[in-house]
Amino acid sequence: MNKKKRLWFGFGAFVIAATVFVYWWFFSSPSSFPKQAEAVEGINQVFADAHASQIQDVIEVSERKRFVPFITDYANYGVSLWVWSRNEWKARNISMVGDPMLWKVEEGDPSSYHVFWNIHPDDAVEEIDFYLMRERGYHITNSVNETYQPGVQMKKSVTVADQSYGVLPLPEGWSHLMESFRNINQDNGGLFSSMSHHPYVRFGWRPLNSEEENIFPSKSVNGSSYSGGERLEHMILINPSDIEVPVDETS
Amino acid sequence: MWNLQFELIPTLFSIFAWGVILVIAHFLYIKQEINPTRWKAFIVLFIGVFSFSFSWLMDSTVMRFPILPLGVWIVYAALKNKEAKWPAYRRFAWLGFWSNFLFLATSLLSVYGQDLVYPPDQPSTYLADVTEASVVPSHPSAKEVALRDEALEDLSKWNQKAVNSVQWYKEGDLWEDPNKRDERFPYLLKDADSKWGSGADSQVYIEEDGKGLLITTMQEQYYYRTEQSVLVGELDE
Repeated sequence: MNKKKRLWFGFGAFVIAATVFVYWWFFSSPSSFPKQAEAVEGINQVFADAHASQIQDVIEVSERKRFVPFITDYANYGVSLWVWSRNEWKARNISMVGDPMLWKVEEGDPSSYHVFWNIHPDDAVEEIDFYLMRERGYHITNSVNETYQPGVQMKKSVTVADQSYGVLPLPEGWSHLMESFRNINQDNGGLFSSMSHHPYVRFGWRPLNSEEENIFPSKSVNGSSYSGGERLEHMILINPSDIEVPVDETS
Repeated sequence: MWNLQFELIPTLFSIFAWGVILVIAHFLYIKQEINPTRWKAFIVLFIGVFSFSFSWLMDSTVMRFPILPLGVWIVYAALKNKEAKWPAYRRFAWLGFWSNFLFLATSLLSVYGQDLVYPPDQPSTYLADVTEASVVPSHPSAKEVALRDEALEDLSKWNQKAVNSVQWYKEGDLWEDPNKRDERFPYLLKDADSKWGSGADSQVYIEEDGKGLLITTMQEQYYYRTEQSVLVGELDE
């Protein structure tokens, strides 16, 4: 009997210790971010091709996620996304170029989404216009049931002249629009579920120089990258011909 | 990710269905001569519900028509070798299976009940609470406007009109200049809440003149017009 009692006691202690350990391992609050040299090494360890040499900044996007732009040995401007996980800061996604992407920080909650970029100074980009678009459309079923999808085009401009990198939390109107699409696109037979797959909207960016002319940012696109599980969405490079302008506006 | 909204009608019907089942189970228990353990009879009842069924979607509600009583078979397989166990629990297992038909009936009723209590073609179903509502410009042809105070409080003056999708799609197209384009519905209405318990999610656009509402739900799209614009600001008539 005594032996059994002791066995139970030991088992209980083990369960408590395991719970504490698991909690500490998975849910511990983030410690301070690694110092410069350590972070550079952290990037090169995960993705040796990156050749990171200098961290430009550490930007908080959520309690356990950081955006870390960096410069490489070959003067490339790269980006890395860090996540506090299993009790350490780890570079999850790394790219050698910094063309803008959408980071679904907490997938399913558009208000947590951020756009991030690190544009090479040689590209001489002065301003970026970001776009959220949904194509205008109509749909007729059984020749009686008509639906119309209004065209959506929302714009947000940011200046990149002073600083190569940056993050932009999704503008409030954008996240509201995305949420409203989710309302009517439920996977269990929603009205538009057959028409459009998950990305209800698309994202685009348009780099402009100081003369407000469209330019091609050749040093900020087409680089190798390492993907370690963060949910990202590409942004399309927008041409002036993709953009709708109100009829009464002269431009 | 999906939104889990409270739906009153299906909730009421499931509470009702389970109430009926528990009452029947209670009378079965009293009438039966060989009494099983009460809590075990409950478990057998729940296992009995498990069945192979034919299911389909009706207005985004899942309907299940039970075909094979899998749960009953499981209970039978577990109890057949034990003396007098199966006869004691048999009825509860079958009650579990038959209750699937009750669930089917209440699912059907809740679809109709939903339409009665929350008429899907009434704007008041989707715009019951507009105290927090505001306007988001969703196209460059939108003007600097705001929602007029109490504009959406009285919804009795809105009349349903046909959705002229093809016309709306084509009307704004200036063929000589494909980039110049106005949108007929350039405003998104945000933070309008549907009626309590309806679970009626929607996407609502406002027409350029402020006198039209385009409400899209998971199943259907509705278009309403009224006399007075709901927008204030630099709106040219």
